Amino acid sequence: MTYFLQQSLNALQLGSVYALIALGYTMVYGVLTMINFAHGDFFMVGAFLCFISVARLHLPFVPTLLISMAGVALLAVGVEVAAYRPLRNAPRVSAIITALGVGIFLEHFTLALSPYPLHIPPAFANVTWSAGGLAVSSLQVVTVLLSVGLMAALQFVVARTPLGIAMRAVSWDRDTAALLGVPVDRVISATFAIGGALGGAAGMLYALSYPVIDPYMGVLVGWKAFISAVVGGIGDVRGAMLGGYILAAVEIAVAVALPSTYRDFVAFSLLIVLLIFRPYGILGRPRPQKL
Amino acid sequence: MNRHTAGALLRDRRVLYALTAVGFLLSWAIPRFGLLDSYVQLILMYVGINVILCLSLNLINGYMGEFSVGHAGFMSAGAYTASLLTVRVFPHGAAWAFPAACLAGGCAAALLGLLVALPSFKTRGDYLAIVTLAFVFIVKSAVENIDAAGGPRGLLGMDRLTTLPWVYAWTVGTVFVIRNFIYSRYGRGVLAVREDETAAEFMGVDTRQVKVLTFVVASFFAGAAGALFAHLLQYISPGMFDIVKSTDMLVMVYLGGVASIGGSLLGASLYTVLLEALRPLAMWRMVLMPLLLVLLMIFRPRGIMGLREFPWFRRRCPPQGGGQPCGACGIGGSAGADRTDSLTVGVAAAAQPRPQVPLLDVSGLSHRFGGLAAVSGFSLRMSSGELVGIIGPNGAGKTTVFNLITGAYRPDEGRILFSGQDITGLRPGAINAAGIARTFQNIRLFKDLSVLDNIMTAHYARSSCGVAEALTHAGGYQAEEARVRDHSLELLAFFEMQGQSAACAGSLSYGLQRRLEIVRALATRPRLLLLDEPAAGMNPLEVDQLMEFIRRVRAEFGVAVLLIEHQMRLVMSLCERLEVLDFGTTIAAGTPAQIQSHPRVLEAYLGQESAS
Amino acid sequence: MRRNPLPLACFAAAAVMLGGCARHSGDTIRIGVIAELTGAIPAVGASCRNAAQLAAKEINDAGGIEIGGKKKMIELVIEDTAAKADQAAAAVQKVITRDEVAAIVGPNSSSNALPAAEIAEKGGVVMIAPWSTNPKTTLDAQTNLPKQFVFRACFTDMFQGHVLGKFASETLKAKKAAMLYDVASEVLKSQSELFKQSFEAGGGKVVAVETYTTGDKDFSAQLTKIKKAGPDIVFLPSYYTDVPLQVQQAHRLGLKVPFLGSDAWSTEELIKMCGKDCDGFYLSNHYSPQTTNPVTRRFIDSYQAAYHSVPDDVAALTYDSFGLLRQALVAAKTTDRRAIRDALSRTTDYQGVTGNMRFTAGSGDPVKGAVILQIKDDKFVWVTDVQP
Repeated sequence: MTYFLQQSLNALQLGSVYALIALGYTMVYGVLTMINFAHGDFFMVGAFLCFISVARLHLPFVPTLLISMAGVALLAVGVEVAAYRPLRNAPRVSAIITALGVGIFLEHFTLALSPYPLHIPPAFANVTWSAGGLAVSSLQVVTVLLSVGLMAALQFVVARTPLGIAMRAVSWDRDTAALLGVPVDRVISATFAIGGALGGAAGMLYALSYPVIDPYMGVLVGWKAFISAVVGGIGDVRGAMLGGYILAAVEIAVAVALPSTYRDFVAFSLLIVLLIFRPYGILGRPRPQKL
Repeated sequence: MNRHTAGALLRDRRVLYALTAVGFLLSWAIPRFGLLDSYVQLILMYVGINVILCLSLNLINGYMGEFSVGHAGFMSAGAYTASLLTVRVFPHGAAWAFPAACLAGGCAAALLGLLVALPSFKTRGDYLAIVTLAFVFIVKSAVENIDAAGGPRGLLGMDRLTTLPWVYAWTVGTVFVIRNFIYSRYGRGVLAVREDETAAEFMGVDTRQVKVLTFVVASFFAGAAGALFAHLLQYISPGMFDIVKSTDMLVMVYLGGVASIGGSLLGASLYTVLLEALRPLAMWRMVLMPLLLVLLMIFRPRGIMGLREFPWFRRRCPPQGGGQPCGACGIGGSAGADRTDSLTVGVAAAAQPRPQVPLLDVSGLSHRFGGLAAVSGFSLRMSSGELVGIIGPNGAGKTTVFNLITGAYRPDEGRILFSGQDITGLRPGAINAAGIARTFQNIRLFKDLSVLDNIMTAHYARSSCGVAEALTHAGGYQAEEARVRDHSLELLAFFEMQGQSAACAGSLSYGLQRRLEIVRALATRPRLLLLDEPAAGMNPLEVDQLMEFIRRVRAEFGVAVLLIEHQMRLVMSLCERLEVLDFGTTIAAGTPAQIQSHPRVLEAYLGQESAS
Repeated sequence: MRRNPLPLACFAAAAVMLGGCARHSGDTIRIGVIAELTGAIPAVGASCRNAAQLAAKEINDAGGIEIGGKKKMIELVIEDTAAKADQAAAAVQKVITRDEVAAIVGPNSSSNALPAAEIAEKGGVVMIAPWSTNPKTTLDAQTNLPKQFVFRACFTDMFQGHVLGKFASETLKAKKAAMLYDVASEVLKSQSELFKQSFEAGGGKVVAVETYTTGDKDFSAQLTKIKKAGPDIVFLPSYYTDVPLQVQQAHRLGLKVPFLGSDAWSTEELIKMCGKDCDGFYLSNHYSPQTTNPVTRRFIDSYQAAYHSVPDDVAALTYDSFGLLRQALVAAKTTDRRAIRDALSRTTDYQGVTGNMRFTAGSGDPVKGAVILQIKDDKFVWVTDVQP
């Protein structure tokens, strides 16, 4: 029983990080129908900003979090203005390829600055509590709480604020929204900023939990976040959260139940099975087609 | 050489054949006589392999409009199958071993392609992308667990069997087969699926067959490329065929230009050569490459070739149908405007009136959407050649009736008989084959295809061209294509549209688009034509022209017409009888005169007071 | 139709790029350095390049090497493989054909070294892989006989697994061992298999075998399972970037047994990252940074002065590769590729940074020993040398 709980805790922590990143993906997707493949690399930049803040500037937790979030938000908006906005009216795929290019550029630029993996020194008190054989660390708790808190904040913004309404309007019909006076450019930039901030936060939490960072760390995580967003239903905020936790749960469950060599094989097969039964993800709905 | 002669050379197909032959000779001579150094030869072979990969991926992503990131998995299957065969099974040194292994690799990959095609029936777009993504990981993980294939250690022991002539031969073969595929009825089907899968279904395109074929052909060549790759490096490992490899191929496809053979040739070549040429930059090479890519995408979002195609790979102009970017050849072409007798005779003959059995017999049709009863107990009888109209307020269920008749949904209750045959719940393609065709409320033309291609695509189900013939353009292919082309041009000529046959369907005026949609439906040789609000958005002059058009269609083609309309002038003067729908049931039926003064109709349209 | 200039421009550019001929070496001795500068293992590539540049500088500062009566300087041609097999092959082919190098050092990872070795062998150019421990690198894939032109500077996985297995059962007196390795890495997988063979031959029993995939950061599931099996030690041949995460997570889960590592652990960076968690663990390595051997000390000091960090084993082995080459060039007095090869294979006594090396009849694998180190007080402490 303790074993099961322990693994569940692991899944909860990993899932929180996946969910945070998936949110960034899904937001941009929802508003622009664009898969921002550079998002995983935004996450990586967040981790590196965390490193700079902790190892070089020796700042405490909250300023580090703010730096990671704000830094990546700025980067995301910058990339949007420079690389994605010119392609707003081009075929969707062109923007996706551009995103790939931006991602590769970020990876190798960071590499050129720092080829050796960096270690983030343990700067924040990380207490491990033991309760009946169960090991819980304060970092785990903070990760989960912070993630859930950010997600709740995002849900509030999307559902209740004027900005959120504007975002949803733009996601349904950009041209009409513009005609009705919605400042589309600013809304899109705000979306990227928020998505970037979430990715930066995820990068920081991930880096603190697994404190060895390298320029390519965002690649695999990026694809996993993409999968999480799709599994939950593209464009749906709650779906992204759900997808992140599900993916983490599947990964850990498979590693527990089967020889770990089969982990990827089974996890991805399950994914395909899920999409066969729910072709639009768990919470997703197909955009209705009028015949 | 001035621009003119260069252009003429590019258009002459014989120049292409000559160049290809010279290429064969060169590919043999270069290694034999050391005309180029080993490094350049290696890079040329990389280019060839990448061209094959890029072209085959372009088939799925460009022509069919999907977003597959799974190509590395196909390549892996081909590489491993071919390598295991040459290393463990086939006798060493046998001359036939290598080509056989490459073919086997292609077939193994094609089998996997078949599997991957299955989810594509239901899933589209980004969800299908996830399936292909999962596919890559699954293949990698599977190979890592198969110790007999070397596991993560990889597979060694292949001879250096890949040579420049082989790579060249396979590249030429890939271009040949894929180009033929595009310019066949399957290619038209692929493009139709990309443009509007639903409309394609209704026009008789077997979308499942098309998807399977596309994946199988594309994955076959990816597998062959994998086999060539494995016997060039003499070492393969599962990590070499990961998601990064897939994205490399993606970049090449979009860099060159989707849905363009020339684009794939250029994209693959440029990418491969550039990567090598930038070596002096050492680490900064990988910083500059993506930057160049981003810049290129911003300034040429559609890739180097944009939407164009090298004239060699296109059909000869004037347009004779098949996949080329519309409008590229200029307006032109005329054919057999005097062959109208065969046109209408053929159709009229098919519309043998059978007085005993009604053409259309709908009884007790009901359908609910969630809690809402869209249609309740709808019944209708039509005879051959009748012109019946369905009218009613918005939301009355008129289009739903059309959708039920044509197979978009299976009705909850009721039965639909067409010439005595029960077509209730059949798929749209089957119903179309039985003889019912339709147009749509929001025009669903294949907007980026030419006018002629729209018509030719509708001949999909009535074409007898098989896969082998399509891939080689041999056998009965040429005759069949000519037949389809001629029939299409005749149809267009009949309605005075042949002058626009090369124009993009999306560039036509609204009225002409509506007309084209009807002509496209006619191309499927129906006996009953369903028109959904054909006059929507038309001005009075256009409405008059439309009425004339519909009369002519009915007279010359002998089809029965069932139409939904709101324009009373058209309905009253055109239709022989009317059915009035409100809230899903028929509230009145009769001649236009009867309906005009029917109290319930007035009530439905104008409210309680007017009725009294 | 508006003429699109891009396709023509592309053809022209491609033709220009492909054209071009070999650059003649003239007055220098060109050595190709094929390193993984970008891609999955950039740290390895950086160390390799640094050590190569240091070695070349030292040779040149001492006046170069006498070739055909004249003193010539070493010129490095450094190429990136991006850790991809096809790029490794292209890089090697380029330096052979275009740059006309006399010999090649690198690549390091076996997935790059294997295809590179094929090309070097075909091209008849000496290739020394500093760090590739896969036994197949120096063997012909079909006959399993040694290749002629491919050498390595390190010991093979066979030897290392044997050393570690013996150490675990004889010195550490462990009866039950667990293993955790990267299933996607052929090096680590074969090290694990060879360890298991050797350990069980010595009477021990492997009670748990767990795997992860490259890039994983969370090992709690696997570590929890290992903890359940109750081993005496855990064999953990992971790269130094993963070890701290794995050890720290293990400790958090209450798994407190000693961990045993391989040469994949091999850099002081590991100690920096792992800290107290790794104190007391043993590992095998190519050399000991704490050694008193003057040759090694001099190298460590020069490297530290130039690059401000203690050299890892990739750097040490690359430096030794150059040392071997230098000795061969001095003996051959020519840049003829075959002569260099013959001189190299006749190396009977080379005092390297990573120990004493010699090549025996025909084989490209050096006969050399391994070092067992222990992490103590934030330092690698030498425990023992194991000779073959």
